[in-house]
Amino acid sequence: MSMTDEELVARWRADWPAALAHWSKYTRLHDPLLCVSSPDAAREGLQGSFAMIRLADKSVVIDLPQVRRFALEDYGVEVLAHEIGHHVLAPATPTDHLRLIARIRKELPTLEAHAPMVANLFTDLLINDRLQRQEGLRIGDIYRALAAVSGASSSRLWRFYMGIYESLWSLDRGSIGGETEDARLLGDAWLGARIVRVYARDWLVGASRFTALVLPYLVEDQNALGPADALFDTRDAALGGDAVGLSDMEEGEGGPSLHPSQDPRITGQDTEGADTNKPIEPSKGSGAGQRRETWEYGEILRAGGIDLTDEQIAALYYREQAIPHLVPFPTLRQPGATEPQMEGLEPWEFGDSFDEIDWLSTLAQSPHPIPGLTTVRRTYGEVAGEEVRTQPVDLDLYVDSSGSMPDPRRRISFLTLAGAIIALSALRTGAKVQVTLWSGKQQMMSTDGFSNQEDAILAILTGYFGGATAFPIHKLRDTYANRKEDARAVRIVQISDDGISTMFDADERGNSGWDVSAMALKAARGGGMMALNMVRDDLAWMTRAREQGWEIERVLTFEDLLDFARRFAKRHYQQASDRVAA
Amino acid sequence: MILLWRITTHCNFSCGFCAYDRRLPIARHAADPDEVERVIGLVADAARMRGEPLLVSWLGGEPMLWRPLFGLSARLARHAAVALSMTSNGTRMDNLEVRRHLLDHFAEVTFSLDGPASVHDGLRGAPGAYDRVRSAIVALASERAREGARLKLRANIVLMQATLPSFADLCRTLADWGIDDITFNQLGGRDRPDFFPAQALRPDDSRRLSDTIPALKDELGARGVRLCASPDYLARIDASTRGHPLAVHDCGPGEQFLFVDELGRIGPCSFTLDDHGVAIDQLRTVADVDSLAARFRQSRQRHRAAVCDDCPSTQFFGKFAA
Ligand code: SF4
Repeated sequence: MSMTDEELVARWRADWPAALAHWSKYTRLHDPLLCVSSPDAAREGLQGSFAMIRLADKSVVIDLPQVRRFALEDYGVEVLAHEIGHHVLAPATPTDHLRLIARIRKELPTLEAHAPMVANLFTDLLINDRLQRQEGLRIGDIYRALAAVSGASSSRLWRFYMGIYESLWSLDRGSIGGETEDARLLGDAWLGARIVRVYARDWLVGASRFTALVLPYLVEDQNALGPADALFDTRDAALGGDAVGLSDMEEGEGGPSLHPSQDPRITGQDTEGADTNKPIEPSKGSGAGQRRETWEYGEILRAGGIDLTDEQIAALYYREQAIPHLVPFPTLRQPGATEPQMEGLEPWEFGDSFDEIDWLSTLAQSPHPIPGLTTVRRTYGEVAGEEVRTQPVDLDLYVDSSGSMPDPRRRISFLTLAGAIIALSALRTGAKVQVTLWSGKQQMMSTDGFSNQEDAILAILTGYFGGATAFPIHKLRDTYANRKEDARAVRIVQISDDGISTMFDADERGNSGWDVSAMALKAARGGGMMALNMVRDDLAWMTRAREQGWEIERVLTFEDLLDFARRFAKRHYQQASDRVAA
Repeated sequence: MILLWRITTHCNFSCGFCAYDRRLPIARHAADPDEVERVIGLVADAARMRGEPLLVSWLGGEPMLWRPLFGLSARLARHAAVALSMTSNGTRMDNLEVRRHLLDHFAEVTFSLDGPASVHDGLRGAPGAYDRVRSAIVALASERAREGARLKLRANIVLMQATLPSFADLCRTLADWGIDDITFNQLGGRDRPDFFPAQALRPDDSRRLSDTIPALKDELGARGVRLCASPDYLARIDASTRGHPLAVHDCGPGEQFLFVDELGRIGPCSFTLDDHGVAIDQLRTVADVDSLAARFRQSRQRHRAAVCDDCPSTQFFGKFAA
């Protein structure tokens, strides 16, 4: 007789500790969400497969009606241990999930959309091989049960994939749906099994090799992954998670890929005496440290299940790229630092540390101390320490976003990156930042005045107009016209090309841009600086601007902008903090 | 992998150079035993999956004052990947039950001992401390021989003006008692800046130490005692005496060593917990443990702690290498 929903839930709940123990009984995950109806499961984000994981909140969701459909009620430990394996072994963290997808995408030109599923198939192999061989769980039976319900698959990819398991576990050919005759499929299955064993620890490399095997089958038949749908438990695994370190490619990611049949570690046909345990050295130009383009970064995040807007993705990207270049946060004594000061005595009680007894005061109370009754201890309060005042210089940053500049959401924009480095460095010193992005007339956006909100600042910096070129003189004018004399000093920074000369045109009221610029520099009191992508350095307006007090640095490539940003941040913000520290 | 855990900052000694001197009016903390057991279990399972051993080393304060120590150590010692170690001032080791426990469950015990009785007891503010350490070492050495136990006995000496003259003789004495390994570290100025200036080693001291070491190493080696004094480590000491900072660009944070403090922060060493420390309640799976090294590396890249410009980690400079 089949179990009721309550019985099934109770049984799988009871299976959970045993499933955990197959990895580590000390593992702390949320108890599994056992959904007794598919709509319940869908509300948790589970659709199409009978299980899913969310790496960010360390949870496992199971669709029990689907479990019944495949007659897997008795396989609670196996299914749960498998899901736990995704948390513990691979991909384990949102970042590794995304790194894996990035690797696999590289191996699937024009078929990148399949990368998440291929990632799932590969991590399943790693987990299942361990659970079946080392832990003695009945994973093979699960595939038999799936095949019994879905029928034998005509997908060559699926027969190759199941052939890997048959090879790994020395099962009869075809016993769980693997290929029985086709020599190419059988050969690929053998290579796949070798990849799982050889690259069990170095599984990002293993995933690339595995994908090279998968690619031809996917080219032949783009629906070849259909049978895997029911098993797609890492579809949105990174949802709600953090993506860290993805904006750069990593070692081995960018180089030419190696087919497993060419990999001596897999074939065992290494040159004599060579150490087959050594990873293959990444070839030159293997990608380490190369910046990923922003559009690709966004696609990887989305493929991993991260659900963010273009703006949020761009902000994440530029923040990550900027951080290594920031000026270290100064270690200053902050105003109001406190020091302990004795305030009085209070009873010492059992359970308190013996060391805390103030014996002098205890004996003063009674020459015959009675623990817990006459014993006392000191209490301490906090008094303000010596004050050190900090006076950061605020930053007013104008970034050109006209048509001559790249869209930072599609391609890496060194303007945006330079702006992010300068702005985030300033924030770290306690400065406030106003950012204005500008292009043609009416094309301007700005933070709501001077702000210390990193997200708001990055949101403006990563925007894009791509229009005409007309500096928003009114913004400069209004920022400084009414600035109070005792307000903090501001450093004005312009990042642009020769389009910045429009700053000296007349404003909409007919005021001279030169006058506005002079007024702004005077009121700002922190100086003005321009980083300009220009070939010439001797134009008349540049000479006049220098006379007015603008420091002008030419940057011939946008990469130079990066150096400018680093130098600038170091010179102005590091010095500010050193002065305060001295 | 070595996991150092400062389980308590309580101490019963009054060492003028130590941050946990019992006389200091500081808040004292002790680790939560349930969390200690859980996290070590997790780290040990991660080590087991990688096929590596894990040495857990209890530090204090005085670890012997932490009540859960024995019950917890006995349970942890059952884990296939775990070996246990402790650094102690010798407290409670006159008790046969305590020694029994150490012989049964520990792989090594390090005793802090700095000089002959008059020097050691004076520095540690604990009359009779030297005699207690001696009896503990001698008793453990003979009980170990009787039972064929594997416990390694180590002594650690803090080198300063007061202890340097007796260093070589102390090493010989320790060899007489049955010690296997001798390590040392120089007095640092971080914990008690008031104590430091008069007692700090000077460049001449470092030179004399380096001159003494080779012959002393041979002499002790002939008696089966290992004096841990690698050239790198001596160079580190020498640089400190000269005020030359030794910046470490890449210490492989979290790859070989992890340090946890009494408040439950885990980091690559005890010096950078404020900069890179992670709360242990964030460690929920073996994968979280495995990702610590990458996390520390990233955190160090984002913001390198000032202390790394003159890395004080004795492990990093090979304190335990011969
Ligand atoms: S202090 Fe030394 S061991 Fe600690 S993080 Fe810095 S370099 Fe590494």
